[in-house]
Amino acid sequence: MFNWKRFTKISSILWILLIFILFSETFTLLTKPTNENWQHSVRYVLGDVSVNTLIIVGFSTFFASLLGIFLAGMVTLFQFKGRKLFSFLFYLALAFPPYVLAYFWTYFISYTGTLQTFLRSLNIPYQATWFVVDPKFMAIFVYTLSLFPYIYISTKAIINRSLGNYIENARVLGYSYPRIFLKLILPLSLPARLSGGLLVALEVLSDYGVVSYLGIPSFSTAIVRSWLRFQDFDTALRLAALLMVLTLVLLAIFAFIGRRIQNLVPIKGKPLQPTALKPKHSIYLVSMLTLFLFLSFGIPLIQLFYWSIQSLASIRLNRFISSLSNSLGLSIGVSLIILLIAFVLANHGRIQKSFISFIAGKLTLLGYSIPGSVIGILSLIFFLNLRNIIPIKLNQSIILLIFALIIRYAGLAYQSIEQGFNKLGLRFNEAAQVLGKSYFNALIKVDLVLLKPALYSAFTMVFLDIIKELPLSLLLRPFNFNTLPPRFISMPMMRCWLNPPSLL
Amino acid sequence: MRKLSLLLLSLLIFTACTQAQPEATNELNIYSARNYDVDKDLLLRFESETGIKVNLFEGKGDELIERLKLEQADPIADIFMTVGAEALYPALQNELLADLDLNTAKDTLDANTYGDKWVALTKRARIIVYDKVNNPTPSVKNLEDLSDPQYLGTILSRSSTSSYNLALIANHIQNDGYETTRQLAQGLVKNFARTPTGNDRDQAKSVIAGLGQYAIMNTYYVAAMERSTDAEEVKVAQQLGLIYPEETHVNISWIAKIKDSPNPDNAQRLIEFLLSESAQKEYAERNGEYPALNSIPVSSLLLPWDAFNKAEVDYETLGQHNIETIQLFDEVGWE
Repeated sequence: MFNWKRFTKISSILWILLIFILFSETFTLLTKPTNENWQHSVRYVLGDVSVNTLIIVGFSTFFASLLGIFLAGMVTLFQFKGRKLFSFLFYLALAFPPYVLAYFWTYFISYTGTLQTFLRSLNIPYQATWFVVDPKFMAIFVYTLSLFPYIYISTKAIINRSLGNYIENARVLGYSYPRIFLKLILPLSLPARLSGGLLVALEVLSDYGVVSYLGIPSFSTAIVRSWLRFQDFDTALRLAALLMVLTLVLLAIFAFIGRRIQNLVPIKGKPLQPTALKPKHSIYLVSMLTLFLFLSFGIPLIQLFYWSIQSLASIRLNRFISSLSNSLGLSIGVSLIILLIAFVLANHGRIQKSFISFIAGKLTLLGYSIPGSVIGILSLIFFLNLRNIIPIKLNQSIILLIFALIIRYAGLAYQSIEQGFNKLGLRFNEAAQVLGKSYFNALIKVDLVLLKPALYSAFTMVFLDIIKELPLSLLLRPFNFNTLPPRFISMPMMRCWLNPPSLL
Repeated sequence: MRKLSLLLLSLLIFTACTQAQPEATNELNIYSARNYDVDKDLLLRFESETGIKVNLFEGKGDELIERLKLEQADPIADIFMTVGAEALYPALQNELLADLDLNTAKDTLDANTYGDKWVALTKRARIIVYDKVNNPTPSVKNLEDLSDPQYLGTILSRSSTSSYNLALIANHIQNDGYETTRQLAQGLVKNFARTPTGNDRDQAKSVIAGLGQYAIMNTYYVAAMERSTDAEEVKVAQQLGLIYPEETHVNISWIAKIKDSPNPDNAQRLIEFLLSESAQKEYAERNGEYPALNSIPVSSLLLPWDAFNKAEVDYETLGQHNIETIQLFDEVGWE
């Protein structure tokens, strides 16, 4: 007889063992003596790399939070024309890979870019130095724009679901909206900002494309540099180990704060009714949101579309279509597998809050914070070692890429589904059990239906991230299996290829 | 049941998307870090002229070397081509390359642009550019001049992570030793107008924008900008003055056959094709590079091949200095 609870427990234990074996290579290195490259890295590189990483992660998370909360507040508090459309469009920001935005905005403000060319064409005097932007500011800017949806989504959910009572009461008592924002929404949405902020921080920590393009020394670029340029695996893995320690500290901090505030808001309150705005105010708000969307995403989209038209002749359609179908097939398939794994793991945590479920959860999130290139190296070593036991050419097959993608992105799905379970609670399942259903039956027939929003959200986030994934695709993709991100980055005249992948 | 169907569907998608490993048929498998349009067109022409199906796998040079190392026991690639000589030493050290017979092609090439296992396809000089209009009489002749304190805040360069800068400084270490090169690099970094950012073209644009007076860049970018479809880039290229240093560093883009690869004869045919006059002309005309065959004329913006003095360079051992070059970059703070 299939025992679901035992199945989830065994799965969690196997998952922990797998991640542990995968990362063990890194941690056993710490017991060995260091080499000259490492000593050089500590002396000259580690300081800058750590400071840059912390600055970029910290400020990106902060600004993404501000932007996410503000936009979530606007679309939940007020009723205005186009509210649902704006609400949907803000989700779409997730589809823009941060490195595409970095390329675009760097081009846009450059001397031959659209902005300065426009000013020169109208003979408007300006100083070129006005458009010199520190690469770190550019990185924070693009991360904020592309990652704020994580906070937007969770904050919107918590406002709609849990803060209705408070906001209604405040309205009745005559609180102004700025006051409602500062005194109610800001503090009471902390749990949502925490979970969304954690995803932003982990994604920035692990990103390689933006910092590599902008030439910012960071953990991810230092790891890849040590591995490929220094040909020094040891140093690369030591840096990866340091990054993992940093991530564990971050996870611990977020978990600590999360535990302290877990009773801050009720799980479910009265749904919030948005207030209809006066026409004048409605126009202001819609104009402001339109301007924001246009400046952040409208301009890049139009430019990318223009380049697309220009370069239609040079796009090799058959190869582009093959890259596209590979990307879509891989992303959909892997996303579904990840969803299944995350569902099983989160379920174990739901049924039995134990040391095993705690470790499984944290190790799953760990994968999300590690640069794709590191997961790639570790997966390669893992499979090469496995080949000694099972003689299959696993390191040359697509299984390797899928494996690495699962390790990398399971954390993202896990986070979303775990939150979904937390908000759902056990009461519906227990009610079904009282009526004679088994836990598993109730899970499939009752909980799963109510969990749909969390599942869709998890699937979408994982799918979009996989389709944007650069380093893993570059390194591990099987021969002749081109996906879109590598095709994108391999063209020196990037504008030719910039468009099709990101228009997807 | 629905979830199970979705899972089965995903497995079917994998099977459909998974490509079979290439067998030794009439094919050619290429790992290439030369990601230019001209290369893709040349490969298409090779395909149509010979009937050999070309399978192209693109990536960055160091990543491809890593893949070649991992696949060494059972190679897939027949050909490796890349844009920098600094990758040659690791490729030779790890015994990734097969013997290459150049036959009479050798007679038309410079002696240091081929070896037993590799051959250069093109050459690129790393030069200094300036604004001809606003700085008509530059007082700089080489990199050493640029490191003088009088040029504080005037130099523009891309990041040290660029393989072109890596090869440039490695060449200096090879010829002048570590300490002399360190002082040169230190002087340059002190004179940077800003923290290195962007690629070579961005440095050229920044010179014209007035953000600096001199920039370090490759010759082929100048020629490529002049042919750009972006009118603003063309204007920038036409306003650039070129200074070939007294000992100009020249890097190569090279090609080699992979040891024990499945299709060595086809690989040989490709190399002969790419060294032919018609292919070499394409590199010069469409990509602005100095072709390996010196008889092919280059862009009128550039000095002819024999009109400037080249620094001595042993391409096979240049990569030996990679690690100390990167350490030097870190020590002098060249980001």
